[in-house]
Amino acid sequence: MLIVDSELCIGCGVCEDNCAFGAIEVVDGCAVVSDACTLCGSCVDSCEVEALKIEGGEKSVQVDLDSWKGVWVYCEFRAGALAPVSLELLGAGRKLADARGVPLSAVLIGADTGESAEKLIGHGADTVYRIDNQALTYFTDESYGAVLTDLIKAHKPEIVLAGATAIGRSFIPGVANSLGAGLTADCTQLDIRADDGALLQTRPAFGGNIMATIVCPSSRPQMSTVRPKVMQALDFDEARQGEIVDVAPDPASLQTKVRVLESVISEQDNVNIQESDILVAGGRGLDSEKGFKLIRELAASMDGAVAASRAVVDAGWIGYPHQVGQTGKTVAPKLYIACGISGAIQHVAGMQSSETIVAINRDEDAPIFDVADFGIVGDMFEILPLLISKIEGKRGS
Amino acid sequence: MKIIVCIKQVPDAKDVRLDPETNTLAREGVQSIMNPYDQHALEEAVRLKEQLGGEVTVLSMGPPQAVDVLRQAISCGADHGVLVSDRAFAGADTWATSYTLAKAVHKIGDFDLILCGKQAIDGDTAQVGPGLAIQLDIPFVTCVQKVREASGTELVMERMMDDGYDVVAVSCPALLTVVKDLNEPRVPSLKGKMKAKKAEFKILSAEDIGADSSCIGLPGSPTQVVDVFPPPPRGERAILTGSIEEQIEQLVEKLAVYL
Amino acid sequence: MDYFLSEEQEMIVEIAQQITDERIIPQRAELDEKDEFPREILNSMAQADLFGVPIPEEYGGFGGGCLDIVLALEQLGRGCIGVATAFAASALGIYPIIISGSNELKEKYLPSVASGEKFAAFGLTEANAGSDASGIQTTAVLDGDEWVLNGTKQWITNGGEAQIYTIVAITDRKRGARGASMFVVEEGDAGFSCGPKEKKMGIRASSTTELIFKDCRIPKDRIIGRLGTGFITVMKTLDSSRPGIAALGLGIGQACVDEATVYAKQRVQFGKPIISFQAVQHMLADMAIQLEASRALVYAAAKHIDAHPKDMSKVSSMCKVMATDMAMKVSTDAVQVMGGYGYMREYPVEKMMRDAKILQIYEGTNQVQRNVIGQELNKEYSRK
Repeated sequence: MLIVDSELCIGCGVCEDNCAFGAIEVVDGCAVVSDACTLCGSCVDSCEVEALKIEGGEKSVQVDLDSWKGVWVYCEFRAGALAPVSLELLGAGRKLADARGVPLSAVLIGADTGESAEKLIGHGADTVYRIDNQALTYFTDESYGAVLTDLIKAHKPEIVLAGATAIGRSFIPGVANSLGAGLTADCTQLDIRADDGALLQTRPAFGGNIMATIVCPSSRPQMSTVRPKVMQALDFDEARQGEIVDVAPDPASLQTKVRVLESVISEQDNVNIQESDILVAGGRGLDSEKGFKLIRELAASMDGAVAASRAVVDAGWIGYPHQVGQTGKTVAPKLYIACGISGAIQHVAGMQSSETIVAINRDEDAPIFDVADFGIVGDMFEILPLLISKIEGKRGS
Repeated sequence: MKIIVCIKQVPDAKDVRLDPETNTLAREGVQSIMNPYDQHALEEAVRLKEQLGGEVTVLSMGPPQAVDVLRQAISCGADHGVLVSDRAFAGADTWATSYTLAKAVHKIGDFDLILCGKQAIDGDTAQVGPGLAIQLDIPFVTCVQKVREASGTELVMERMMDDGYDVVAVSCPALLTVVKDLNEPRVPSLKGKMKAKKAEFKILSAEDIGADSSCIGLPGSPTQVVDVFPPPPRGERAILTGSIEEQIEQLVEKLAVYL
Repeated sequence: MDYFLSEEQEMIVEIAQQITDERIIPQRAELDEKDEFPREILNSMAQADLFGVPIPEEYGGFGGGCLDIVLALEQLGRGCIGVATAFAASALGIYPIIISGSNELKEKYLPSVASGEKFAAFGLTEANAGSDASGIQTTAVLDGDEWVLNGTKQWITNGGEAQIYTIVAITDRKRGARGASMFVVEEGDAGFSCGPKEKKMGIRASSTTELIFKDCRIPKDRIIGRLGTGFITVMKTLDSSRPGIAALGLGIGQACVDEATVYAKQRVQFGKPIISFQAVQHMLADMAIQLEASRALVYAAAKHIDAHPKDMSKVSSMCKVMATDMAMKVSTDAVQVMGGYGYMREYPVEKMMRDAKILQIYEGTNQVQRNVIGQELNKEYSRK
């Protein structure tokens, strides 16, 4: 319950402004809480006279926290390959494990995993739990969930990380729920709190308009899914030593009620630009359809999708589904690179909520630079080829 | 076919911002809406009902004013609405929410299918759907983008993956979470709106659903929010300097997290 | 301004608003560009029961009055009057059956229009019969148990898209105004065909074609009302439908005020948003005044018509003239406020300005409306 101390409350209304849910209101000079309150605590932090407090907040079923030790990373393996996010998470997990002074383990689930376990050790894992079984060829929430749940129960790690991919976001919530563990989705930052060693999990909420830091004070393991491309993978080190533990799954775990009939890998062409994390957008500054090819190449070099200004779509260099702006789509990718786009208000209206905006234009006064986080002024045909080769070089290494 | 659709009332996320100077939430003019993903879940449920017969019950957890989204659901074709509402639910994270909804589903009774949106736009966690399925001990399929075949006992559908999709089959009872590609939600009809105006809803308290007080609300939640802050501010007119080569070098460095 | 609408009326507004914002506005530019008939949008209107608004309850509709349909059309018109015209023309096409049709005709046609399963169209205009309806040359001759129609209708909205057409034809030329009758012709009737789609200045989402009758034979019972009552039915139909055209003008007016004001707040010249210049403020103010005055008249006229169905000609003409002249003026001013951008297709006001023009022309030109008003005044003051 959120308690208002009417003696201390001065009716200033700061709490009212701070509540995202409209659940607190000053009536007759004192704050009053309504049923809409979610106990998020924003108002408590904002109250300068400390008139607000949340009571009864501790989870009553305490787990013996100290018996849970070690950092785990679920390393996604699909269609014969490790997901890149797995290696990124080992990089992040390594730092957390070192900060806690505990080992880092990887969990590899799938079929025909080949040399993947060795690769995970080279990227930072001390131990790899490998569950390689033909029945795990296709991902199902039930089988992968049961295998991981059993393993966690057996070894009791304090932290479990997984990629916020389609697979991770699908079965990890089920695992956490079975374990009664706290799970934070789509984290962009992970730290260890100095005073008690708890995992601080930071994630965006409200469509990225707000950041929130979350802890699991009284349950273990502390689980997070992490957005791909946020954490840094460690370079592969052949000399690193580690242990590979082959685990035979409980046959009951492999029984599933959901049957995968077929797995279809789609063409990249019909990408929905609203769903892409990276968009490379081209405008009239590319001069011609031939020039626009550079946009496609730049997008390909960073696994992004291609977007365009209206002028380019009208010129027929690319189809309407790629158009951003007033008469096209509104997008909010993590990264938006505008090349040769002047930034007229009708274009900016469609992309200004992007997380990071890069503008490349030959006109120094182009309005696009007003909304850009980074800008380069210069000739498109000089800059783009160089940029592509630099990016390819960086990603190749 | 008896279908339950879980729906949530959320603030329209695009309007919610944290004022970077005062660190307060600017919620002026923020509207409450039915979570957009849930609208697609509801639409699919109504289509399945139209195809196979049966009834659609919408279930929501939230403050009393959340009956607005139940009413909206009735106007779009749902038959009944149930709200679980209790001050004791406040502060629930995804675990406590899954538990509470599972208890409410038991109270509602028999069902063949539960549909949920992939995630709610206020939290974006995508955890309550799978959590609810685990609590109910039924199979679940997340991110359904297309229902290919449906009978009263089995469904064949496409589940969206990062690199394409899987075609999966599941027997009822089951839980599905859905993405926006699944369908286009209908506009409420005049008949539906008139029905919704008159509709009455069951409001269930923690006691009504027999919830264990240690499993609901803040005490039942393994996760807790300890800090809320605005994202790093947008830089303006940060034009790089140096030779073109140097500028590109700097840019690639700045963009490293995305590569 | 609060016009104290009923709960049901608020519902109609909400539904039409949602269809406009979610379906029409995102698609209107493309529909306009491609001259494309908005089949899917009309289907969503049907699913939302909007087609049932003007149809009596006993035939599957909501028995809505003039104000109900005005409210729906105002919202739809805010999005695109091309789309709204397709919707309105179906209502217009069915009015003759509602007003004068036999119970058999009503039972046969109204439920399928109420559900949106079928669209209707109204066929009056011909090459030599526009404002002067006495120039009609299409004929209907009784031959045994069938009427035989010959002639060509011109500029018929929903031509080629509708399944039900209500047609005015001369049944006895000697009887003058009492020599015309109305008939129902169905898509697929032998001897009936539609011409190619006309290319228009505006409302390009709507379909406009010729209707061609060559020895078109239809059953005897397809006559609407008694023989020779065609013109009376036409007059009553147009009296009822004109406030709907006025409502489309309100829709355009509202959209133009919205677009121009939002733009004026964003557009910076001489270091200030242009809305801070009094020249721009006064233009916006005049637009808003004309809009609200028109709305007040249209709503009041619609309420009057709902209460006094026998005395509607004058108010119906008055509100049509005022609201559609307003739409033309306000859309022209919106383009002016937005300057070069307003003239470009990237912004919607140039389309609104092109679209607005038809409102002063169709369903009786504004000059003919003024004639009606003038004649009514003459009559009223002769009685005093």
